[in-house]
Amino acid sequence: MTGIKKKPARVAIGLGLLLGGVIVLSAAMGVVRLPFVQVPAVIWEKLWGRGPGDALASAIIWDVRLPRILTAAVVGAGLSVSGVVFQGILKNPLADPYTLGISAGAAFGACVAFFFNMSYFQGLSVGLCAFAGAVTTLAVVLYLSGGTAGGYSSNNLILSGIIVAAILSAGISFLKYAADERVSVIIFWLMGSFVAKTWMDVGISFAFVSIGAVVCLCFGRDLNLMALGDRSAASLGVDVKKSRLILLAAASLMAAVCVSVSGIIGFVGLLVPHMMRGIVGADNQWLLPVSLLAGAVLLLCADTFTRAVLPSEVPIGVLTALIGGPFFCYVFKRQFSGKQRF
Amino acid sequence: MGYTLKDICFSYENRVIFSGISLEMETGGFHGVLGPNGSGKTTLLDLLTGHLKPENGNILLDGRRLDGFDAGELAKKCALVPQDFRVNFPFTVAQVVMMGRYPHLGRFSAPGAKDRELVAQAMAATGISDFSGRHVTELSGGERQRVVFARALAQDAACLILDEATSNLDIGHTLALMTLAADRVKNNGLTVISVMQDLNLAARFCRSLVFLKNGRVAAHGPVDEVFTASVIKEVFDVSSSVYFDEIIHCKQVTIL
Repeated sequence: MTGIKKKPARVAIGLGLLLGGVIVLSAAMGVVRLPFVQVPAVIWEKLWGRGPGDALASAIIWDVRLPRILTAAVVGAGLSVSGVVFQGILKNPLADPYTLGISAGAAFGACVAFFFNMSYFQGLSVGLCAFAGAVTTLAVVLYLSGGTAGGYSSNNLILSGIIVAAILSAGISFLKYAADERVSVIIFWLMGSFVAKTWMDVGISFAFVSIGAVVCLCFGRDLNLMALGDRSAASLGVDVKKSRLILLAAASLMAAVCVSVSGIIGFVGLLVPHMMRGIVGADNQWLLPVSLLAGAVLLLCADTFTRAVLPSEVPIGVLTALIGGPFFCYVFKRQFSGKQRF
Repeated sequence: MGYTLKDICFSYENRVIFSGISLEMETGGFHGVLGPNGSGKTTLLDLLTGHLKPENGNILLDGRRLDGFDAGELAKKCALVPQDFRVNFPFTVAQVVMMGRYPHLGRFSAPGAKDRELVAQAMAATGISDFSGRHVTELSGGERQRVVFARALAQDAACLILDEATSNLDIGHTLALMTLAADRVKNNGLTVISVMQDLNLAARFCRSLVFLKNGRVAAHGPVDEVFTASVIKEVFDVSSSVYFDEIIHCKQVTIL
């Protein structure tokens, strides 16, 4: 019993250091290769408001690369935490941030924006429409699953999510069909990308993801208890309905912002929680922070790979699915074969 | 004191379960709840734990209305061993038992020495210490049920509610857990309310019995008074012969 598992703390510290290292490394990598030491130098300059030592390097690192890198890291973190929460609430290891149709809602919103060629709010209209689509979808799913007996039970939520997502994807297909030559823009957006992200994207995603993550971290224990089933959780002092609603809202908002900023990036929210559960165990108090860090590292690595290593850029959503899919098969086979049969 | 139910009404959607039952279960007793399938046994427990709210009537716990407790407060007074228990995530046995301590911990405070000791005691009492490091997803049904029992013991509540808590256990572990519960009733003033299927087990360990049928109390009282062939005939519709067993010194029944 002594020291149940101190391992998670070490894993978390290790991942934190790794994240810092990867940020610096990836900021130096790219079409223009820069020495690694220049990255901290530029950040130092900017933070203290000094004039640039090297204007070109400063512009490349500060204005072009860092916004994209930080957005990728924040989105990776947000999707992973959201994935842990969705799996916990729905008591289903196969759930991910998109199970409730958040992605379909965001995609539909974005399609509408593209379809009507919206260009208000300095190019933010697509993101705003995507966010509105995701939030509306969540509201509809909650409405559908809440009224019936056993309000917000995992079966109700999953079913409602599937129904709403099916309707929305038909809507997306219709918009694509009707969009004629603009269909390529829609398809490209749907595949996800961190190209040309600005500090504004970093700020928006960071604000939402950090608030959402803090809420989720506060409910780590409740999430553990909810895994035991509603009856047990209630008998252990959890207001199941309220906690579930708060967690759902926090996790969905994180996912919605991530999708609005970067398009649909699959597999991160499914894969990271599984990998981390294999390493630190199922206790959500550790699983949440560790997944947050691991998700940031993973998505940043994937984005750097497509940006700086591949000869020409592959959409990040395609890449994560191409790498994540087979890897998930491996993890799934190893972790679950023979262990979880019921 | 203990639980007092006054004119409780409850129904699911359009199926009426209780239409005005009243019941009293005193502190420090071992109460058995018996009845055929669908007679409302689990619903009764759900009402007692506050998981379901009655449409009408009052439930008092130690003289205080149940809906006046907040969930955390109630969790310190009343622990539940549910009927089915399935976890899809690989928590270790020790982690699950430690969850019984959560109601006593602050949101972020780590478990202290007392918590760890209670968890270790609960695991020892239920004989699961040997596999405290295993994942609950890998356990058999009976092993899992003992883990849940240990978690409820670790919760250290004055009232233990058992919903067919021994349904998956072999006879050895069944007797061990029931004896454990009965000892705590006798020595520590624990209140146990247990839904059971096995009439002989109920007669052996409980001090008072509640027979439910079709959402009403068919009989309620000390075992000696209500454990009779006529009550069993009325509730379960089977003929039986009730006798006093000289070896274990309690009433037993043979179904004819």
